[in-house]
Amino acid sequence: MAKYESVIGLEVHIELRTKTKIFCDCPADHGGDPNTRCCPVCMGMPGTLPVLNRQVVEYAARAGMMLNCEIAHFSKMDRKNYFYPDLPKAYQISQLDHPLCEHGYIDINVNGEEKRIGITRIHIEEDAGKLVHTESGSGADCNRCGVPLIEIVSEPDIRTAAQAKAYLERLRELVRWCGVSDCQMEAGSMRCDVNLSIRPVGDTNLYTRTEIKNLNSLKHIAAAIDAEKARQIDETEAGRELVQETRRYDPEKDKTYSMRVKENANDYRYFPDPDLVPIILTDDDHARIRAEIIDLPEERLAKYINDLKLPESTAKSLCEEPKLANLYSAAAEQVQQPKLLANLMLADTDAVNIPAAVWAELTNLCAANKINRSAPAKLIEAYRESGREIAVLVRELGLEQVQDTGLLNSVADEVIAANPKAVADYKAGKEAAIKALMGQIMKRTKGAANPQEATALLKEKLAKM
Amino acid sequence: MELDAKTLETLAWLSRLDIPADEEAALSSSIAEMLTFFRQLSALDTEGVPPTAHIAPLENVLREDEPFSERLDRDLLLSGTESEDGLITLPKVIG
Repeated sequence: MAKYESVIGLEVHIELRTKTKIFCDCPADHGGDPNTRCCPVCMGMPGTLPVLNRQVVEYAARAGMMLNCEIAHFSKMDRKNYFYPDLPKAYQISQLDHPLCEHGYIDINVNGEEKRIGITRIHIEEDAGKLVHTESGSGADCNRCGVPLIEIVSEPDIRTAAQAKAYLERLRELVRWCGVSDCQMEAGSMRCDVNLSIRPVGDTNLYTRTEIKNLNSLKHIAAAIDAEKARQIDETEAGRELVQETRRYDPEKDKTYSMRVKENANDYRYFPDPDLVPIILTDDDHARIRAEIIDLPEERLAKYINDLKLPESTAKSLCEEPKLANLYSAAAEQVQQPKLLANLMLADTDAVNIPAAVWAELTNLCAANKINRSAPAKLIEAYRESGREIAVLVRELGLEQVQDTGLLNSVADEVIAANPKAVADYKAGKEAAIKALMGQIMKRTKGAANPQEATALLKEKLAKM
Repeated sequence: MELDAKTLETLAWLSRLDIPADEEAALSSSIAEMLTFFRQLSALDTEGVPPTAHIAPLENVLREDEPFSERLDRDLLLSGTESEDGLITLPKVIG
């Protein structure tokens, strides 16, 4: 039995998917040439004033509700002072003593064992810029300065790498689900710092901890936890004292290294930001934000499988992308065949950019045999190009399925007369020969014939011959 | 109230200021005066008085999440600083 256990708390930074930055109207998305998505406000130039983005407050509160937090009625912004060239203001606007959300939790399940991990707080803050290091020196790109972040701080409730991984996976699922971030670790929109100390099993005290920064994948986080635990045990067993410090993890050597930050460097001298006024959220605000959260991902999945009778794999595919699931739910209310709707939507790689009403209309046209099963793809393409009504596009593209049995009748007669060999083959028992005749019917009707009806009609005529 | 040399040194480092040796004494006594003033304030009974978050009687000054269509030209934005290839030139940060 292990002699020591780890005591782990995680600090997770997540970028919120707003259109603009937290304190100015610069675009908040990734990319762009260096310093083309910044302005005097996010570059911290003298005389500029930050103004808080309403959406940041609402998204952060929504994420807090998703993570079972209490949402503040009174919150405020503070300045955290430190010098680093990726932060041109020389302070970060963050929150100290009145964070937006507190006292939440996430339930995880590792190997059948349920565990509740507490969330101490969630606060809103601005991201820093990026440094680019070259031969001749370093350069600063301020495009990321002021991108809105939430920092989610867990209680030191985590004991193992597997629990940390489960916590992060569930956190990512819930935050993505409520639509406030895409939480992509590889792209940097979700980042994690690990705080870790060890103690003898059974001991309830907390001992000197270290912080491992800049971990960018679940795999590295789990490996860094195991490596740092092993190092702390080695140090302790060898009688050496652990120091509170920041470390980094080297995945190639599978070891953590001290970042040797200067002593007394962490004196942030927080104070209330005089440029920003308090944030007040009333009970009505809370209720309004809570109303935007529809359900939990597992509730939605169960609904799709049990109520809408979707196959499990289809339901899971829809629920992987919250935007897609929300769109599907909206469209499903307007159709009789939810499974057909799901299949149409999943066949399109960019389904989320087509309105729910259009998906519902396509499904209903298909279900009523007014268009055939290959028509939706063509209609979606035409809709993307023109944005015109589906009913108009169906007529313009000639995609109406032929309902006119008189016409179908005469076309079938023509095809039978023109293809004696296929007819003879069919009569001689080669059932596949009917496909050649079907192909001719589809060709002559430009794909507008209903395949089921046409096949039935052909069989009927051939049987009489 | 006294301000010892060590505290002054820490404050200078946190502010990234080089304080000439012949100015230390004057600066120490000047800061000490300010500290004395605040000590007087701290003698007041503030029991039940909420801490001031902002001196203006304002709350929820918020903007909508709408991007501004025109961006400032980068050359103009960087005109006050040295730059190379659109990056702000810095002293070498990492070896």
